[in-house]
Amino acid sequence: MKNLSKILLLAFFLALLILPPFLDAYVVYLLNIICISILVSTGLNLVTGYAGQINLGQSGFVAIGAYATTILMTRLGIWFWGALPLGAVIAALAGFGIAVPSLRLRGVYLALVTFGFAAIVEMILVHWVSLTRGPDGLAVPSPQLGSITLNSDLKMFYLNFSITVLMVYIAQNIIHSRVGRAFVSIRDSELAAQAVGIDLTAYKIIAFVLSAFYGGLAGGLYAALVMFISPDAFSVLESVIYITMIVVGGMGSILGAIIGGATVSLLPELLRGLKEVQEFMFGAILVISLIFLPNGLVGLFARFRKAPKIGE
Amino acid sequence: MQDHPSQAPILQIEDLSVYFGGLAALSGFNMKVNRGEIRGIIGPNGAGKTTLFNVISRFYTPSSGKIRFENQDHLTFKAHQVITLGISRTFQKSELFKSLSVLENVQMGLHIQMKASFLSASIQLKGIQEEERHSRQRAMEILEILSLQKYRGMPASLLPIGKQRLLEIGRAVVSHPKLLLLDEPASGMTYAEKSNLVDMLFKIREQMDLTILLVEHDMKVVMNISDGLTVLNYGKIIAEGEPAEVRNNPLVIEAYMGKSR
Repeated sequence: MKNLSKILLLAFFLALLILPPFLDAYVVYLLNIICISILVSTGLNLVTGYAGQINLGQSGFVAIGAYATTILMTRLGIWFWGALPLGAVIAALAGFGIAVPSLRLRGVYLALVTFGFAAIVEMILVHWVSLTRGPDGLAVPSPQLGSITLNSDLKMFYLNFSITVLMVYIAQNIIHSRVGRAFVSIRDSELAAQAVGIDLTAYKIIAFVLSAFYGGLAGGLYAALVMFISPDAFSVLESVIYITMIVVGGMGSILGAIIGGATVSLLPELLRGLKEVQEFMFGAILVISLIFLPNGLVGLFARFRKAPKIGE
Repeated sequence: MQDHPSQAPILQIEDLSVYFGGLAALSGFNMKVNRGEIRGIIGPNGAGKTTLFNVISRFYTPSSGKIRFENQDHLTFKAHQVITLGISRTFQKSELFKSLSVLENVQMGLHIQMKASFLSASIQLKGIQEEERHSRQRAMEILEILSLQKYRGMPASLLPIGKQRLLEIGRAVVSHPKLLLLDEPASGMTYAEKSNLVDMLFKIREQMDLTILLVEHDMKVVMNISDGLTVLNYGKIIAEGEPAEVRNNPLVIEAYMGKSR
């Protein structure tokens, strides 16, 4: 059984590596978007799904990653392969900056502060014209890999796919370590977590910083993919979409963040013709899954499997 | 019973007072606990027993008074540092990590003895897997002592209440603490589970050289297990001594039963 799922996973990976050149360009673009969304939701899942600290500011971190990567490349002439991780680190630093003052807050208050953070980032992007060119946006140079310029969706897909696989693997490793257990312990009982020696502040900050790093990395990759960024791609509504991803997929599950990232990121494409009701649809999906799928799509699958056997 | 007359007390509490607003949860509380002792703390609801635990765990800061644990000023430590001193506890209302498995709950008790950081874990640096395997092994040993090994993969929230209480003890003792605070471990247990609990506690103390503070309402459990009893009422000690003599103390009877007419 375990072997079968390993083989299936391998086949799935192989298919994703072999098939894209034969796929429709639009489908390849969507695959890129899915990878980037999975990156964002995997990061968000660490802080909100596992550590239980609501973060409605993820779009702010994505924006910082996208703009920092671009500006480092265009203004300072830094190579993409340096600018990308640096952009993610800058987003992580912003995560640290927002985590320290707001971790005394809980629930709705933390949600409000993080939401406010994302709104402020969006405002800065619009108004700091000398750096961001405001609503006019910035052109993003394509990454160079040796003599290859990653200037097509197909070439970018292989980059996005590899980084996403790597970062999901890293998240998986963190979750299965004492750090991941510490995150869950904070979500389940702050009292008991302290009693076993968890420094709540330190671990909440780590979770926030990781989440921001993932968001920033995704932002940098997004910028390189679409080759043009402007503030409207990073509106606070995106933060709600990211939360929807982990809620729909299943909070506190690596697979949940993947499934949620993959499905929810396709919705705007499916709802193209219904631009006016898109936001309403996201709200509706969020509310419906909160009520009917408290453990997300992953929880739905789990319900059909047998209950855990004693002794397994 | 173990006897260490030559050693200084492991825990010394002097003139401890805790006020919530105008209400004295503890006032002028003094206590010495010897190494290896099992001290029962009893008293009616609201007498201040759990408050005492929460002060020792550093969840509360007392209004006045001193606590010395192994001759260190205990009040300089933060809540999450208390376990590193060798003090561990269970809670009156079960505080398990409900979405973690039974095994992972016990592993949480080893958190402070592990080293993995998010960086070393993320790239699986050498030693991380070994450390994880070792902690799993130690946790399994505790589960075996408590006869919970067959539940190891189950989410803790699915365990029956009596077993949840045992699991909480397992999480607390896996790090081999010096002082264990048990807050009503028998509550929610069936009759059979309670007598099993008493056996377990003796077994654990013998293996680990533990000192135990026990808050418990079940008189049979407390009387069976404690070397000494401290009786609290309205935040003050009203009696102290060996179980048999405390039981017949008129003040204690009055606190529990009301004044005889």
